[in-house]
Amino acid sequence: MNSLIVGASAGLGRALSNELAVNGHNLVLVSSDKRDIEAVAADLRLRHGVIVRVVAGDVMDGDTYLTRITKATDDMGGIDGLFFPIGAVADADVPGVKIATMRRLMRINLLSVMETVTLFWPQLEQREKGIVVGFSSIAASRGRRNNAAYSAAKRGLVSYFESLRQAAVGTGIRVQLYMPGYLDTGLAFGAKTLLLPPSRPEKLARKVVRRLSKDIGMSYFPIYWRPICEILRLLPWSVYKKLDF
Amino acid sequence: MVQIPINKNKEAMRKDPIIKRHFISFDGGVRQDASYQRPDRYSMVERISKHSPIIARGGGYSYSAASFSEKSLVVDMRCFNRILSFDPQSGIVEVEAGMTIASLLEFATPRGFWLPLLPGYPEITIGGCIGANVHGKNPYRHGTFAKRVVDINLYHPVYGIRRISPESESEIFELTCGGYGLTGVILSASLRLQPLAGDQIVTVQTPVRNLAEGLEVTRQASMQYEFAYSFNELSPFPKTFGRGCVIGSEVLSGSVNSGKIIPKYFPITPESRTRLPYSIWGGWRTRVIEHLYWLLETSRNKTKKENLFQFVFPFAAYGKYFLFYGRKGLVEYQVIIPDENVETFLSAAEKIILDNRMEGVMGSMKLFKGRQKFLRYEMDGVCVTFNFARTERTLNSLPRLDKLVIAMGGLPNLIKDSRIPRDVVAACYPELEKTRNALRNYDPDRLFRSELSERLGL
Repeated sequence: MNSLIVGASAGLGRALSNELAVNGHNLVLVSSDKRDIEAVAADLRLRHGVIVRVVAGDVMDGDTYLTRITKATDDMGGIDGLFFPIGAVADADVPGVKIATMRRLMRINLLSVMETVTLFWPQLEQREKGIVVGFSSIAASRGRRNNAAYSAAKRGLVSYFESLRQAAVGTGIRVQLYMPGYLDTGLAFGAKTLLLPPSRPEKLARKVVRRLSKDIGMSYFPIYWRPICEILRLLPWSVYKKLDF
Repeated sequence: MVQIPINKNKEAMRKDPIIKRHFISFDGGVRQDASYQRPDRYSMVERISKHSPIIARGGGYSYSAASFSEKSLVVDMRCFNRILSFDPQSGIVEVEAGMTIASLLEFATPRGFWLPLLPGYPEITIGGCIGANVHGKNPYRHGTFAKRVVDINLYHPVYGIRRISPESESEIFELTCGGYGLTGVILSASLRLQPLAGDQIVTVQTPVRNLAEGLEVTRQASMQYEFAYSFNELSPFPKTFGRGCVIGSEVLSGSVNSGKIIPKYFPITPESRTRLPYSIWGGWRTRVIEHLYWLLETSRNKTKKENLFQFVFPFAAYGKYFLFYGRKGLVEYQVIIPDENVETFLSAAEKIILDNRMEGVMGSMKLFKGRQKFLRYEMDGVCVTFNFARTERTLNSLPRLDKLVIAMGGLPNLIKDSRIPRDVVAACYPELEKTRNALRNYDPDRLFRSELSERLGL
């Protein structure tokens, strides 16, 4: 199986790349920094003997970036799996933040995923098989003043993946969306974690690969975030507006 | 497709977070709060400020505080744990500094290679092995880690990334191997692995009644076996003091398992080591445990076969040994004593330990061969190790052992003793001043600092 991983050089993306390589997937790894992604690729080739191609590009580069991904996947003979462990946060993601920052957050967290899926969806439909795995966040549960664009982008992913899942009915394509809580990665390093310990990204990566053949729809990780997010959603506005987290 | 023009302003994005963290040296002797960063990209390492002190950290298993200081930014390199290249012909592997030695063995062993000079705990990183110039179970035969290092990629905020080796920038290379991380952040290193004949080890144990007999048998075993060292009881009771066994081991020629060689083990960290509020070791308790261990060992078959991992990392299986020292921790006193003075040293040290009722637990001896340079723990002689429970009585008595080591021309291991004062180091390491000057020539602002370097006035 050939898999494309966008955001593969660190954190969950790196853990997922490793887990897929352990399970024999050939990989196209995409990340913004050439040195990091080439180091990951070298490691996976040497340890697991899989074919790994890299695309070092910034999602902000639009068409150029997508063209390079297309070339790498064509060289590989097409793609069966799309994985999007990509994400970024900003220190001051509040309404009124610089427009460039807001755009970058939306592009990295939402639009880059939509663009790449759009690019590869016809190929997956034609093959009548494939899997698309996205990673939203518990931040998508409710909008927060300190995480405005990030929450919006991640909630956008929830809606988009629901659409994809419906579009995939009868096509042989599986669509999965994970809602991770705090992960012990650079993204959450030093962040307030509501007293709940960050989970190991390797654990989530193992879970994802283990369930690739299942039609799971949306899944929380760790599972205890599901009731927490449900409660959060049910909180009346009079209570929610007073919360500061 | 439509090209979307977007401003690539990355400045407001969240990156390079720094938090405050509490650090404990593995022996429990130094506890400090420090700023802490955990980069997972090369660009993050390159963005570290050159205006305030820094020190790199790996697994945090050094007994002295070589990887933190309250004045420095602690840079955790464990995310850099990838294999970058491997040549199956020459056995040269390039790995990032945060790779653990267990992970390196896991990669190398099925490919018919290994490193015979590894320290006893699997989670120690390659960067740490280079920084402390560690040794294995027979430094007389295998030397120290520096001998296996082909080259190093070293980052310094002022100089950028430099590739250093014995041939290129040799002085910085010499300062870096056994330099306690004071020349920069080790990003990666090429290591020369050794072909492995098999992944089973056969071990012969010879019981010994005291330290003198232990020394004699260890000397013989070092000539006879590829690996040789002794374990000795140190509980302060004259009748049994120094009793123990000498281990002589060889790699058994045969097949190398291509599967996983690393069994599950309970990892111990500097923080988890302090979980027990009180020490199990001490007084009659040590004597009872050691006596039971003695009975067990003498009743067992003297020859045993074990897997490579169990042999290389005995403390993976016996991690509780460190836990038993409790919150206060332990003191590891490790010195190389020149051959001609070892007998005198052992009997004088025994007298100091017994007279002062120091809380000894375990000792060890192995032969050492090497050339002392800068602050490297390396010279010809016998490496003698004493482990004590960290009590007032023990700490008050250690200066007596220090004086003895100075008188015997010994060399204390700086990475094993979080207490050792500068004047003792100055008396034992002839190149302390030379090291200080070389570091200052290379880095006039002395950007890389740890509690260890501050204590030694480097």
